[in-house]
Amino acid sequence: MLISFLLVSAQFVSFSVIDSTLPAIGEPEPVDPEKPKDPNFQLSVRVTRDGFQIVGADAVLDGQGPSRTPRVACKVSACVEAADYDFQGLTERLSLVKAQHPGEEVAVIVPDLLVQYEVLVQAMDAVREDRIVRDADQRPRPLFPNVVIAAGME
Amino acid sequence: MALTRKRRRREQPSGEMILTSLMDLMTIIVVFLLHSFGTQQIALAGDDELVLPVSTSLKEPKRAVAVTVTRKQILVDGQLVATLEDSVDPVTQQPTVVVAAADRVDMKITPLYNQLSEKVAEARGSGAVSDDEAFKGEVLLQCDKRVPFALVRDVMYTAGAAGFSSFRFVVVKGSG
Repeated sequence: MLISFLLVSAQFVSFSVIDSTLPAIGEPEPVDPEKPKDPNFQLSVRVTRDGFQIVGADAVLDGQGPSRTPRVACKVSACVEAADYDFQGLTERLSLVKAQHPGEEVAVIVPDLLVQYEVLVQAMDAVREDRIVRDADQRPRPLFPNVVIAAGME
Repeated sequence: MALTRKRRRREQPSGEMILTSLMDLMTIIVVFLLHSFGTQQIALAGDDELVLPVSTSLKEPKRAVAVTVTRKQILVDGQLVATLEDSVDPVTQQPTVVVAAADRVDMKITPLYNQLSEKVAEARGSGAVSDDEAFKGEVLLQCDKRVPFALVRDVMYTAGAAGFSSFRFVVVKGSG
């Protein structure tokens, strides 16, 4: 009886946190001189009702210049809930970007104003690390762990 | 005959409680509960209007000023500061929530700003934070997963204006 109670209790919800800053308001983070930084590389992920738009690294993905930005489309015609978004597809595209820019760790997420908060959180997960590809210690491969949230788009 | 009755009386249980095993049991329960609640830095109100999103993040929460955004209210450290109004998403026609027009100036939510400014003043001025522990400007954001990002943005903007620059989104730890 007691053991079963404790086992059930152990399944209680546990919480964690995701750190972020607001670039327009937060203090700028100190730049680490040890890590190579590409001044032309500013990865932004727009979260829209049509899916994700990866801006600033498109030349890495398709070599077509800034006018063509890669898009990860919704699983359905228009995204409403978190289940409609292709988060795995986003991670896969960002893995390609990371392979070209291994020293970069910052990504800016720009959600549309009407996007649900849950979508933002799961997008941050997809941007931070690749949970399919793991290292020797079975830890997820980090992609862009420093996520900054920018003011949303109307 | 009388001897048999005496033997029967002796064999009957005395009725005394055996406390040793009961004490062991209680000790285990108390230690377990203390451990469970002691390691959790966050206290959530039991509210159906607050459903936190699930995340793969494993970072443990630390104590900080807690701003809670449910589908009905905005609270600071459990204290109500603003009541939200029901609205309709113009694109999907789904129900959503907004801050009342009287409670906001552009993106700044006035009652939230006032409350957070008081928290900053307390922390910096009246010894709520010791001298060797500088005010870090950290805020724990507990938002219902269904609220629109516009509301979260306004809360972050307001917190930033009040002096908080670091945000920790509280999520439910999910499997990854």
